[in-house]
Amino acid sequence: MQTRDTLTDSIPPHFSDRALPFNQPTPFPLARRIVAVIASWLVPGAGHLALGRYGRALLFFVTIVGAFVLGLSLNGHLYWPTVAEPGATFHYDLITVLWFFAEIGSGLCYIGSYVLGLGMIPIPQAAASPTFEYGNTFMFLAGLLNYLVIHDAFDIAAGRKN
Amino acid sequence: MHVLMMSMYAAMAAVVLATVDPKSETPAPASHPRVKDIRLVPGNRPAAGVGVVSNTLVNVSV
Repeated sequence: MQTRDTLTDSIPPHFSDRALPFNQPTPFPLARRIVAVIASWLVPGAGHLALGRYGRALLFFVTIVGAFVLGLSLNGHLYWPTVAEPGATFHYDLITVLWFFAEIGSGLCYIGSYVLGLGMIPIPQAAASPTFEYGNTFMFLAGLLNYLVIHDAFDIAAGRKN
Repeated sequence: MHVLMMSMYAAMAAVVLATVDPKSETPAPASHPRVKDIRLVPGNRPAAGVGVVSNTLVNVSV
């Protein structure tokens, strides 16, 4: 008859104390992490789709793309960093840099709109619309929310959360 | 249009909540070690120590 210690010693190492607890997040391979983060930026929710989080992927896609499209329909504007007035402290107008940063977070929503020429009405004409600022705000929020989603996809891919 | 905008606000709040996972926070230790006996060392100079008694952090100084 074997003693308990003898039995424990005979168990292969990968069966002894290496098992992870149930439902413990596990990191994805590096290539899949990179794909998830890039896909998450390009198409909101695509990163979660690649990681198998289908419910959240649908929520993020519908909300972020919907907010961006709603912003465009409310005469929101696609911002791009513009050069500041001569004599300014910085070369670029910082507020347009911030607005561009917020909007570019939505990835292909911004790029596709730019390619299609949507949201490109000159600001004096677009600002005449009473919903101009509402539209801009929705487009800013869509991009900023997608930054949160990108971080969430990274956390899932890195095994920090489920 | 107002209903659509309000629905979008609610959906945005849902996105923020969905990216927050309270279970992913660093878990607190299941239980602190319990110190059954804290002894103070007699001496002329002040002594200080720290101990954990029944899950409560206790600073000891004399």
